[in-house]
Amino acid sequence: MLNKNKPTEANLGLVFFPAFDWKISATHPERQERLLYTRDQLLEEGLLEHPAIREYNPLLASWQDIKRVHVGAPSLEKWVTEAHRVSVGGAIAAAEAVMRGEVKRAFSLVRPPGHHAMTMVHGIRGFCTVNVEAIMIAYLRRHYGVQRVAIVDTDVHHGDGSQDVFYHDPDTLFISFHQDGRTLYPGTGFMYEYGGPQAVGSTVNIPLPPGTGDEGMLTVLQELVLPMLADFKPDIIINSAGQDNHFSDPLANMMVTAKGYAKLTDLLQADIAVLEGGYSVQEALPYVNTGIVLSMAGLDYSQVVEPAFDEYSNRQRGDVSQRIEGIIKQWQQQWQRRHEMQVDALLGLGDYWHDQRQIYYDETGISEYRQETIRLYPDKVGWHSIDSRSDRGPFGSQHVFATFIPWQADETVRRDAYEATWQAKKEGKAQRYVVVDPMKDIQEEL
Amino acid sequence: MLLGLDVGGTFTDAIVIDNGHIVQSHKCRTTKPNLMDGIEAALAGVAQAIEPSKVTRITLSTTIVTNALVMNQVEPVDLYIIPGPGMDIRPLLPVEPIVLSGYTDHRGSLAAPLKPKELEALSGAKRHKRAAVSAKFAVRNPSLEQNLVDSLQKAGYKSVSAGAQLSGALNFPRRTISAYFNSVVQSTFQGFATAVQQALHRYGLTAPVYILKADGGSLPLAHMQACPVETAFTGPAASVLGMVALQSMPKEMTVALDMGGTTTDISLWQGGKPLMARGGAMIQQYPSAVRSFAVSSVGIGGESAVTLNDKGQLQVGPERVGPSMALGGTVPTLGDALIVLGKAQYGDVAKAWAGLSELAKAWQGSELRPSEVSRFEGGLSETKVDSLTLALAKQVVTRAVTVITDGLATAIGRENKLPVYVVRDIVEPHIFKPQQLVAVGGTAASLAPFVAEALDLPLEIPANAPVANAVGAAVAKETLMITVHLDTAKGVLVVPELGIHEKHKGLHAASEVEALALQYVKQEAERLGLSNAAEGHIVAVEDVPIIEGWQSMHRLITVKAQLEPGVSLYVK
Repeated sequence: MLNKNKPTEANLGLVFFPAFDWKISATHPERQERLLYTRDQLLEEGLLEHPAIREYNPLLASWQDIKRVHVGAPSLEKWVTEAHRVSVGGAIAAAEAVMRGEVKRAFSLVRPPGHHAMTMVHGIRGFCTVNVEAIMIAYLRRHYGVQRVAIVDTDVHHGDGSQDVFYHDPDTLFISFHQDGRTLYPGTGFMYEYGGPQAVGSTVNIPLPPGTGDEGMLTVLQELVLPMLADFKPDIIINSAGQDNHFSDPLANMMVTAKGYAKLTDLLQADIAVLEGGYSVQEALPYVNTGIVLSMAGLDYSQVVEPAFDEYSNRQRGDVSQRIEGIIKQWQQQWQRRHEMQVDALLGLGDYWHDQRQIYYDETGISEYRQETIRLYPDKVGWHSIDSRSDRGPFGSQHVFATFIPWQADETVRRDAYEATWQAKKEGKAQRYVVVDPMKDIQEEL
Repeated sequence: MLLGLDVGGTFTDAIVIDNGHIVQSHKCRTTKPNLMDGIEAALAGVAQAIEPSKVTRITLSTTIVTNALVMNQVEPVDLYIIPGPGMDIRPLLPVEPIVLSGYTDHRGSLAAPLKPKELEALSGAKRHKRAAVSAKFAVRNPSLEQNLVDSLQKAGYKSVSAGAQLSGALNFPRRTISAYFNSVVQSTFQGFATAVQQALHRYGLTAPVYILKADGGSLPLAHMQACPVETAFTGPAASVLGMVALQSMPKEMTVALDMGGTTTDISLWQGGKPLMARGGAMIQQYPSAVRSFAVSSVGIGGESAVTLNDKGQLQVGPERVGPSMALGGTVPTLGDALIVLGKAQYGDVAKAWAGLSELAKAWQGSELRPSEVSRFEGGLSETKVDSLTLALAKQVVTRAVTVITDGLATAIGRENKLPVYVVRDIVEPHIFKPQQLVAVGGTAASLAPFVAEALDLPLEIPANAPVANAVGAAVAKETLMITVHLDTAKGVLVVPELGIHEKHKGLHAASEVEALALQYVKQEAERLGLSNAAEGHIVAVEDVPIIEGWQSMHRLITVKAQLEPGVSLYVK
């Protein structure tokens, strides 16, 4: 008998939802086939019924859950399909399993992904419509009183949507390492994007050179990410578990292996992981997911090797290693200075901070023009508003003014946020005026 | 004329059915370890009703495989696995396997072949007479498994079981466990098959002999010698079929309870059909790929012992010490409690009362609430003892009912947690919610009404229930299941259960694969000489569009087809 090491309780809660009836289009990477081979691999390995793993069904997330984070133009209902609600519901089911103490950690292996979705939804960006992890985190704060949250985004693309949602929240540490934005969609995620004026150092972007392999990724994790997490002391760690750093991914140029991802998962010890991108559906996903599931379940992942793996051609080049060392050093210095930088950032700003930007929705082919305002308080987290316009979309010109009350808000912040929105309405430039108050389950039109 | 034999854990039943009517039945004790004695006794009991020349079919439901495993009457075998990369399944297996190199990927592509050196070393590694082999993704491409079977036969093994031939479903650990247990019980089963044939011949019975499988279907005895593992766990299958044959199952979502002496078996029904177990049956504590009904057992039966544990707390089951005290036993039982409550009428009522009131005196001080204890202060008068005994009996029944309803909640929870792959299943979830309760077995009449009350469900207790298992065996239809997997990009067609793996360029659509699957089912049925089967029908179709090289559109189509389990006639 070899059953001595059989775990008696489930270590991992697994939500597996491949959405075999949902696609962006027939030939789009985000199509029915994406998790087919992963499903086959997980079934064949017998992982869904391993005693260390407990399977959960996704839920259908409510509109209320989604509206804690997003405002749609013209409406969320126009863009969000049932598949999106199930994907969000998968993450919520995973989070529930962990919070209820039924499992040690959970993995929501669902599609479609969400980390490119920003607060305003004018269409689909980078295959994403709503931000799955952000909605899950808002749910955790609302229902479980979770406060300090760290997100580690291990997708090869910069998680610009998650960055957007949490850019002004000092209690959410968003760390994304990704292939350098100069060489890959969405072209952002540089070191100088380190958080808004009231949340300096709560966004950490680590752009990595093309050709980064297991060695580089794990060094970044050990020398940079893990110490940052130790400093930040989160209540909960979320992994946006994109799998496109894989050497076989058709949309990116990295060299990470399935076992590399499994080791990363092992070191990170995230409480909840949520699948993001990864489009090498045959050569990577079945193995990466097997590796992550084994690792999170506390099982041996040393035998997870892709048939296509070749040790020689997958060696990280010396110059790549050097560049990574440089980035690590730079970030270590920036991280040490984050408190000074926070003080500097607020110097001379007064009560408000304004910003303007343009956001491109690649899937829908439209641009959003934004004017953003933050109300700064000396002693607390302020609201922020987005005056958001787009044209040439399928629903015509859109102009929405939305105010987001932070989850930490007190009554003063709430009152001020409503006042500012009423003021904007008086000016009357937008079609809709919306206030979002996530801890009160409110998204209302003024 | 049909002859049904059911060799259960406690009783062996024989039944003769003619024109849909039970003309004779006989119940006797199951004899262990030699089951043949009980079978001969059961046959003797119905012999005078049998006209050997008129018997067209003999079907046997037997615990021989389960029994052999429990009694450890098994033959050690060599287990070979070809796991390739992935999870280490060795901790999940009953024996240390011999691991060989080679790998087939999820699309059925050969990623690494068997190593000639390892194959040459096979005769040296051989320790036993029989072997079992299992390769990961052999259901997508059985060639590695088949090559290894050939090599092992050449190396001198008497027989070799292969995982993908026993099940066409994805699940390498389950197929491995099926293959292993199949080899382990093969010689016991073959010995048993020979003994049964001889016994039947002594009664002049030469009709074809069928064996009931865990999925409720039957197959010819000769064929089953290659796959005896499929007869594990047939007791519940026979009981389930018996309920169908006796026309006791309504169309609504129904919970059926088979309430015996030691356990209550729970099955879930829909549209008059029982639900199948996810993945397959458990063999000992190992999950196998053997298709079976989703039957779960809880340790509550009419003879469940009622005791106080060392903390003075009341325990009902799961132990059975012996018969109820009303029937001369030494330990009070759930049955005694039901007699005390006036719900069951058998045996010596006074003995049931006596046994339970003894226990009640020990129980009252330890577990009753203080207010209840004070009611009995100042010594226990006879009436007080009586009311205390009644209170205990009620408590015993309540505990027993709770165990059953908890077991039922687990079974329903498991059913409602089945994997969902499409958005539609979440938006319009298929939730099992029972609307009807059906109970059979010796304890049904007295205990089931309490369960029905707790669940607030209407209850039906069909007549003829005591011989339901033998009836079920006698009228079981023949079944088989195959899986056809077509990869239009590769132009490869696989039917693992039939060992088919071939180029197939002509097929493109799911409907064509369905037609082909039905054709294979028909051919296989003819090959096995099955005459008593339903028409083949399609169980599941998965049809996923895929893209090769960014643009060329192909499909991966998987069709499962079967001869559906069921009964060939209804019985009165």
